[in-house]
Amino acid sequence: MDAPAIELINLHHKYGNAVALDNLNLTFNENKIYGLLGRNGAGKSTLINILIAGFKPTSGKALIFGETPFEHAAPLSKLCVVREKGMFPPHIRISQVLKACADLYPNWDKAYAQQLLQKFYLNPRKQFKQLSRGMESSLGLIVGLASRAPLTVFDEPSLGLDSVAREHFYQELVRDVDEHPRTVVVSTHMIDEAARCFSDVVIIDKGKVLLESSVKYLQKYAVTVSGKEEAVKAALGGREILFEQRLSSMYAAGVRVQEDDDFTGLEVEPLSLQQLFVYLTEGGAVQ
Amino acid sequence: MTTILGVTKYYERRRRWTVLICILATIAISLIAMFSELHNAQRVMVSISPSGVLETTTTYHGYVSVLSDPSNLSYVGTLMFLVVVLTVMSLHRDRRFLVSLSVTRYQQLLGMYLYLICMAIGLILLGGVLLPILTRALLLVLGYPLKGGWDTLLTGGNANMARDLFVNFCQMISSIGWFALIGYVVNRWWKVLLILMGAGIVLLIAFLNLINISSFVMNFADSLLDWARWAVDTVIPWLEEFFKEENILPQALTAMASGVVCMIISYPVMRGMRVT
Repeated sequence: MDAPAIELINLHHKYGNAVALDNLNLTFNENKIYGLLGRNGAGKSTLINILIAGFKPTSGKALIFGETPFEHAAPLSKLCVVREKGMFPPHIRISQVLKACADLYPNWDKAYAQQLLQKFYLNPRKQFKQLSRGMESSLGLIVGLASRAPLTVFDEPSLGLDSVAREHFYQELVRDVDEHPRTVVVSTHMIDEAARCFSDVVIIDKGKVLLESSVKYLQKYAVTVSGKEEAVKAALGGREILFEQRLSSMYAAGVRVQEDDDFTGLEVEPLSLQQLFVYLTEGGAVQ
Repeated sequence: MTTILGVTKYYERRRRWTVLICILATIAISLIAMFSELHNAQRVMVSISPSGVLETTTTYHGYVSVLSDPSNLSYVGTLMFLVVVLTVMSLHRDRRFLVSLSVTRYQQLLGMYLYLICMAIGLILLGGVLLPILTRALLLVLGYPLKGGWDTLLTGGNANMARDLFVNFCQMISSIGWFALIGYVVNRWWKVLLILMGAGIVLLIAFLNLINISSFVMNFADSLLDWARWAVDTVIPWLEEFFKEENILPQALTAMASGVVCMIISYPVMRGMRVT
């Protein structure tokens, strides 16, 4: 059987006395798009730095396709990481970035990179320091998509992008992964917007895994019931409310789905990933 | 190997303008120097000496001022500075980018050294062969007689051209290795080095306050004298022997070996450096 794209075994990392990753055990399987979610300081960037072999973990292992990445060319050659910031030297030209990628990524698709360059309106002669925040993100997206690496990690890919560019990215991501199956991990705070791309979601908080699940399961796991407050409360009875929201006379509450649910006369929608994320990071739990 | 070559090409692309500007500057300076010599000479005829040394001779036009001989590899010395600059530039600026592009540290290091070695070879050929040929040809075009024919044009009459080029290459490798190692050591342990330096200064001040300065100075002067005697009797003769003209190849090989050792040691130093 093939090794998973990423396997974390008791992965632990500390900065001085501060624990960044607390004995993580996780598996990211092949050919799926994962959402890696967590609040600021949850440990996402530390995990990405360990995957890219920026440093060694304090203890435990992070395996990429069954091998540790630190100073091993084979697993690293299958990995492309697009970082949130500081990835590109300020004076490098976009054309130089693309040439370096062509030389260093074995599956680099030059034609596709050119196509994306036009789609995101990037001038290859421009230096990185001349780009706006959104253009910087666009360049990262081009690198990540055109690398066609068996494992691609995007760290905050949509930072600074306008809504059209974000839409282009999500569409391209889903289409391209469909055509060229590979594992993609997207770490983002734009949860609901990106959620439609994800097949699975991993939520980490304070270095621990809060949730590891498929999106399909989560969509069936909980719903948002909305309507007049009295009617919603009467329908829910004394059930645990995952979140609640009031808007004028309307009231919405998230609850776990039960077999005998009857919400006749009320609006029912699947609970959004963002709402579930907030619930989990504030101490809730998914069974 | 593909990745190492990719890193080499990356460094070449990133430093292309620096190299080009430095080369053009070197050519410009050499031409300016040559023409100013010719201008100063006025009614003086210049002849290029086939012996490869500076000399003043008399020809049919009277006084002759001899230009600095274009065969003496002086351009290589100028371009050595460029190699050192390239080495220092390559150490820090692109590590994060290359790590992000999934390049291991040993691939980065090998790619960088391959680039620097290629640059060293290229610059030696440029400074030691092409530029001197260019300046000699220019003199020829300007109507100055070239004694010794083609051999003088190509080598400046230097019988040890190949050896001299090799010696320069060894010195460049040595510079690359040493500067790379020092750069990585400073980059990795600069805080520790600063603390040690600070501690050393504090200890020295404390020590000087505690001891009887005059007796210490006397003792120190005595030991300095002992060291000086030892240096004069032992070290200087050894250095003189080692740096004799006939020992030029062993010197060059020793320099190159030290550079290669530094390159090898630089791997464990940079391997442990965090890239975040």
